[in-house]
Amino acid sequence: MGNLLNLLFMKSVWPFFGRAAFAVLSIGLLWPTADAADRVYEKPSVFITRHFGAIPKTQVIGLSGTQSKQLKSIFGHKYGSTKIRYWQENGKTAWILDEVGKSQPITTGIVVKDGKIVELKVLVYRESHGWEVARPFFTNQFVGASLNGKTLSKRVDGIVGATLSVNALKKLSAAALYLSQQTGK
Amino acid sequence: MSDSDTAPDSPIPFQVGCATVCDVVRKPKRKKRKSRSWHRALGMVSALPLIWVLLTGLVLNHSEDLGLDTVELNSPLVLSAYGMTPTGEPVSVTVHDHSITLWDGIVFFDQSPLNIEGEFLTAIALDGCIALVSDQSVMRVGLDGGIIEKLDELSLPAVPLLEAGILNEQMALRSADGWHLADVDWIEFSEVNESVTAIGLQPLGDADLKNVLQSKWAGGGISLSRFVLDLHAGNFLGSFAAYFYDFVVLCTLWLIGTGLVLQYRASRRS
Repeated sequence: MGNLLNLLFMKSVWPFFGRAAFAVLSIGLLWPTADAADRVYEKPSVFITRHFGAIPKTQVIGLSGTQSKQLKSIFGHKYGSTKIRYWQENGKTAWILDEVGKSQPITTGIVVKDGKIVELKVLVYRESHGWEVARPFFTNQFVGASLNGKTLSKRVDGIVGATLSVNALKKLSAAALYLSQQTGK
Repeated sequence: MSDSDTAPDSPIPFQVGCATVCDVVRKPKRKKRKSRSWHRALGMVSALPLIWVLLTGLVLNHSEDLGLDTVELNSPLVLSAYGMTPTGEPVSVTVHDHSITLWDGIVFFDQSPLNIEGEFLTAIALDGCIALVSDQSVMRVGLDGGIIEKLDELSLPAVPLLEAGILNEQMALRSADGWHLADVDWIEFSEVNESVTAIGLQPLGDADLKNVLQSKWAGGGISLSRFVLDLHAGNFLGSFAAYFYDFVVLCTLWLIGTGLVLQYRASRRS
């Protein structure tokens, strides 16, 4: 009995337990952080070049107070920057915008012509789930959509398991249409 | 030993309490039972973990009432136990009285973390704004820390960027093909042949800021309710926790068993 108690309280035993516990804990904590790499479907420069033949002169819109408020009402939060770059040629305007799906920004290229979306393409997808929104069967739904108030004129069917990403793309497309209206003034 | 003790005809020594004439042979002494001593020993061994589990369970049952979710622990000891301590040393640059610090992949504007794409290189103080330069992007932030705009590979002269500096009060960026000087609006870049002094990051000397950033790096800390839950579940023991609690359960069962046996014997004697 005495030997058992001695073994239990022997100081040399505890460092072993401590090391084992921390090793297991470290593995457990590090495992989920091994995220998949960003999915780059198309580089922004390639997206712009594909639409315009070459990269047109970069233009910048500095958001006024009203425009910031309008964007805030579209996104449901303040947009991430106060200046937004765009590229315009032959009546087409291209926007590269970011919006967070669940926790990571989705970089999306949107081309607008005559107040309607010509193409919406997910360029970089960083979330671990919901990448299906990058598939053409989903993004093609945005083609032809225009702005109706703060929302899209067309119904866009969602994707099970990618609700947040779907909502992010809806907001981005509405924002691109709104910004195109502003640059056309 | 004397000779009289070993003599074959010596009388049998009597026990205390026996008369010299007593011819009754005393019953052999009853074997000593071990149940009581085991009961006591295992009681002591299992008492501490049982009290631990009971008390932490009690606290967890009332975690909302006690507001444990609202309390965050940011002690370096606790954060290190959760593996939430940044590795390496922070490096920093001071621009417009703001400290821009990089520590284990996280960039801080003073004490606020910033989401910057790519590997952070440096920060440059410009007229009315600050340029945060990474190898893949440049972020222009105002003096209040608000993001003005982001430049990615589409707006930059080339990526990856290698260095950044200031030339003629404008931002200069170096890529593999040399230095490029931005115009006032950062729309166009022109190649420059002049030498530009690159601005680098230096080890952070402010110990107070370092302590704050360590906590911020971990997202503010661990909620007290989560900490108590991990104590309750023995998560700090890792895989050993399951065996530890198995041991405690067996000790408790043994404690109950020996207690019942002792109770049964005591009732029989009485």
